[in-house]
Order: sequence, then C-alpha cells, then structure tokens
Amino acid sequence: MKAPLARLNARYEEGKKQLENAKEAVGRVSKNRLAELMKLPELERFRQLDDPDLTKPDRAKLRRSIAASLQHGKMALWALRGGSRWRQVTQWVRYRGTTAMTVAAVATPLCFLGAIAWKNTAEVIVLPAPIALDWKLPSGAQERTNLAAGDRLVIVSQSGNDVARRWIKDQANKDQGYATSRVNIDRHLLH
Amino acid sequence: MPRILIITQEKGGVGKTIFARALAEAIVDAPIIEVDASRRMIELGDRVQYFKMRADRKDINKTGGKASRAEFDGVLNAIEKSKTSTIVDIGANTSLTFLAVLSGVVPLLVREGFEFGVCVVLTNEPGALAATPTLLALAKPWAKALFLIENLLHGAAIPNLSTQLTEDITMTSFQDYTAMEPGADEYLQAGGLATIPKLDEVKLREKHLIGSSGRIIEDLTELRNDAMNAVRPAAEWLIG
Repeated sequence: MKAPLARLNARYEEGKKQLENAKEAVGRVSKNRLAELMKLPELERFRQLDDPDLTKPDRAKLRRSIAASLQHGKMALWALRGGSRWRQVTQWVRYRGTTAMTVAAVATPLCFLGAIAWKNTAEVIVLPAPIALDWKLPSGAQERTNLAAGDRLVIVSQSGNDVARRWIKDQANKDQGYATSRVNIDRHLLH
Repeated sequence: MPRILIITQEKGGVGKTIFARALAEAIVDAPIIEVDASRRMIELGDRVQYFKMRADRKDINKTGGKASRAEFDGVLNAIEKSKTSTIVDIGANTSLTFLAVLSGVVPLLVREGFEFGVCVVLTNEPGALAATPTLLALAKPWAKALFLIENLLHGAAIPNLSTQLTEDITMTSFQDYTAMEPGADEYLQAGGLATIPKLDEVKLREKHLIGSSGRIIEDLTELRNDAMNAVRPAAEWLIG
C-alpha cells in the first residue's frame, strides 16, 4: 500500500472510531436516563417519551414498557366489560324475569311429563310364531302363558330391555296393574 | 506531478466549503486555495491561501465576466506554484467564469505536469441544477477526473438534472444535516470540521446539558465522517 493511501485510510478509520466513541457516550447517557424513567409510574413515563436524552432504541424500550402497562389496563377493561355484561343479564331478569319464570314454571313439568309419557308409550307386535312367556303379576306371583302365532303383544322399553306387558284387572282393585315379562324381540318385527 | 482538485458550483449555499474542509481533513498535508468573497476556512491556518473575490454578481454580469477574470490571475499563479496535490475551493458566482478562464491555461499547465480534477457540488435548487451541466461540460475536455457530490439538503437532485450524467463522473451523496442538535451548527460555523475531533465534552457541558453536549459531538462527528466519505473518491484521486 502506498504511504499516502495508508495515511488516508488511517484518517477514515480515526473518524469512524471517533463516531463510535461519540455514539457510545450518547448511549451511556441514554441508558442512565432510561433507568431513571423506568422507575416512574406509567403516566410519567408516557410524558417522558420525547425525552431528548433517549436514543431511538431506548425510546422504543420505554414505549414498550408503557405498552405492557396498557396491555394490563386492557385486561382490566375487558373484566369491566364482563361486569357490564353481567349487569345486562341481571337487568334483563329484573325487567322481564316474571314472564320468564312463568314460562319456566309451566314448561318444566310439561317437559317432565312428556318425557315420562314418551318413555311409557308401548308398541304392539304381532307374534310370528308361538311363544311361552313367564309373567310377573302385580301380586308378585309368577304365571306362564302360551301365545300363538298371530297373537298381539304390547312391548315397552325399560332400561334398555324389551318388556311385554298386559293389564291385569282386578275387581277388588287389590292386585290390579301390569303383568310384565322380559322378552327378546327382533326390532324389525315391531309394527 | 501535482494534482489540482477544484471544488465548484455557481450557486451559493450548496456546501462547497464543507467538502473542501472534508478533503482537508482526509488529506492532512494538502494545501488549500480558497477563492471567495470572505475567508471562511480560518481554522486551517497557513494551509489556506486565500484570494478575495471582490466582484459581485452584478459587476460580473455587467462586464461580461471581465470583473472576475481580472481577479483570477493570483489564483492561477498560486496553482502554477503548487508543488503538491492541492484543493481549490471556488466561491459562488465565480465558478463558471473561473473554469472558463482555467480552460485557457490548462494546456500550458498540463504540459508542465499538472493534472486537474473537478468536483461539482449539486443541490436540488434551480440555480445549481442549471449550472451543473455547464460546469461539467466546461471541465470535461481537460479534467482527468470528474466528481459530483449530490448534497441532499433540498432532496434528491440528480433526477432533476436536464442532462444525462456520463459514466466517467464519480458520484457520491451527502445526507441532509439541517436537523442537528441545537447548538451544533454554531460549532460547525465557528470551527469547521477540523475542530470537531477536538471538541471537549466536559467544556461543552458548561454551556449545554450532559445529554445535549453528547449529541452535539455525535451529530458533528457524523457530519464530518459523512462529508469525508462523500469526498473519498476525490481524495483518493488527489493523492494518487
């Protein structure tokens, strides 16, 4: 390398080093200032966002610290909105609750009865072949009957099982009720 | 073989002297010839040979350039006496006339072993945009090297030039430094680029706050480096 060019390059290197030093000095001042500002409440930090002693990266750090606080505030706001929704619900109940309660009072037993009725609704099948059934009578006694092909049988579903039933009429009303017998029915035989 | 680099622009306020100073910073032993209405590079002391241009624009126009031509004799003599690479800073309103006059004596000086380079400083201002093609055209026949520094003080200028720039012109650009830390410009005007590395932060703090004094030094050091980078191709040619 020629001596004048080496000298020239050295001058540029010196300049570069001087700029690095100047930037470091400004950076140190900024870091110290940022450390002071970070101890302040968020509103104060917000007011100091344009502090000239802060370098761009440190100003960004200060801004992020405020943003983090705002995020916390946003969650609080969300919770507040949740409370507002709850108030809306309670107000609705307060002003329209009577109607709703009446509807609920009527609908609930009706639904319950409906479910029981649906559960106890029987189906009638026509026997394709003769069958012998052991009945449990309302009195608790057992009774065997033989049914012929073509006879009708009333079937209900109880706890997932098919149960045949027939009404036992007793003049004295003493042992009146359904006689039941557990059967295995092919579902395709149901009419 | 002395090389002479002429920094020029007919329009004033484009930053010619900043770049002359930047060259002086880059090449510490290069003498400087300053041609202007008032001496500006005082901080460089004996390195600067100053020639006062007394003629103003009105006189130059009235006399068809004779008013300024008469004043270039001393400058041309100083160039002729140069023994080493020299920086010539030509002030506003005299650049076109000076290059025209110089064109007449260049063949003689070239025979004596001189080489000439011309560095035009351009800003996005009508006067500078209009004068630049003429200055480059005047210098092209005899200049061994042509440089164009685009000073972005008023935005990009090269796209607004009326002529296409040729490949033999080395172009660099210089950022806008008008938004420096308050107070920085005072030090620049008072001490040029040479005093920037010598600024004492402790002393600055007596006048400015700690943060501000640091930023003044940072801004000025950055400006100095950028100016030196803008003239680097010219500096390398000058010492070559």
